[in-house]
Amino acid sequence: MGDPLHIRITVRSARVDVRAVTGADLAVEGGHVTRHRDGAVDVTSSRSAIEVVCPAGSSVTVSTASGSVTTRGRLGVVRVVTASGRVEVEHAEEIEIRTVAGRVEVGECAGSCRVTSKSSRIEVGTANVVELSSTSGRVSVRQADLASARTVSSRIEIGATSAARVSAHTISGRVEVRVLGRLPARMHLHSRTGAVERKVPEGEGGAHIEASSTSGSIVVDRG
Amino acid sequence: MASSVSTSSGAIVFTDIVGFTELTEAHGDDVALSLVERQERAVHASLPAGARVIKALGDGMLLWFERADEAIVASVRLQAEIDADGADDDALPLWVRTGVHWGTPRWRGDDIIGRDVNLASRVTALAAAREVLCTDVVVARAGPMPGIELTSLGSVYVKGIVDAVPVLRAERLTVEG
Repeated sequence: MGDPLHIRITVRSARVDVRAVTGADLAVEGGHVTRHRDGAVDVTSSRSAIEVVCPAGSSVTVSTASGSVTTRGRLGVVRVVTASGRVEVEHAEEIEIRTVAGRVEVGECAGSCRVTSKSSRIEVGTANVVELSSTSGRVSVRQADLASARTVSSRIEIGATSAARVSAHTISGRVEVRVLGRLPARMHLHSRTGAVERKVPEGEGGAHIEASSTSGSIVVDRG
Repeated sequence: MASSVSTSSGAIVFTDIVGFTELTEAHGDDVALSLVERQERAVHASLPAGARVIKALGDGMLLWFERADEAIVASVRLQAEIDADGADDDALPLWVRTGVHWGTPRWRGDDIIGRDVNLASRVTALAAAREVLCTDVVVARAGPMPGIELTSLGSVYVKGIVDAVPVLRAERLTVEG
């Protein structure tokens, strides 16, 4: 039965598909595999598509200039660095994605999820800790306990648990925080020229929300 | 007539203000100038002896360090200096991204030119607001740096450079508990 691996996929331009399967052995189609003594596996290719099947819990680092990256199944640490191309991660313990353009979708992250982009739209389902940074791409998190987002001109949408700590800062974008549950929230909201709406009662015992925009509006509402 | 050219090894650091165009558009040139001046103050406050500003680049700066570890530590310290200079609510956000690389550029007068300068610039462009990205070359050169946490991000393909370049994020080490 296959133990979790550390797989590095480095390819200038290719579609990369990784599928994590419990108990599977490593199988690579479209790439050249080099196994190292420390257990790490390097995958390189000059072809236009790489398909990898690996044991569940494996960690994967993907470096590309262009081409989509998709992971399915439960992975350990997932790191993706790409210039352009859609990135989709279904489930991982820890995620770090860096892209210039190309939509980013994360399903579930048990630990820390960090995404940096210039113009991509970023969507995160659930994560324990999430940190998003974008210049012009809209960022959204359905549910997080500890969420930090920073954009230049794009909208920030965060779904916060009732015990969440949220930090959302944008220069000209709008901030929307939706608080789950019925508890009040402690809020520190500031916009120089935009409207600020508090639709959740101010008080202790619930989420802590800190948000700012220089010219965009800020709203905190029930989820 | 050929100008005087020399070489020496050192750490090349670029800084860049994130969202500068948007802030200038929204708040005008005087505010833009004040942001640039805030960055300059913070950079000068972060520079150790032996490091220097090579030139200002509009909303960015090009810096030179003789030691790799000092370049990384100063880059991490830079954002704290910026925060200290504009901590109130009404201060406009000054988010600086920073890239650090070690190399041997050509010196042309007081300026530096070459592949390593280009690479440092490309790495900087990949950094998020308030983030410090370093090449593996400068990190290897730096050795241990107490108080600095490094996270490998994998290798990046940058425009104009053939091979993927391993990069790491440098940040202040946070102690839990």
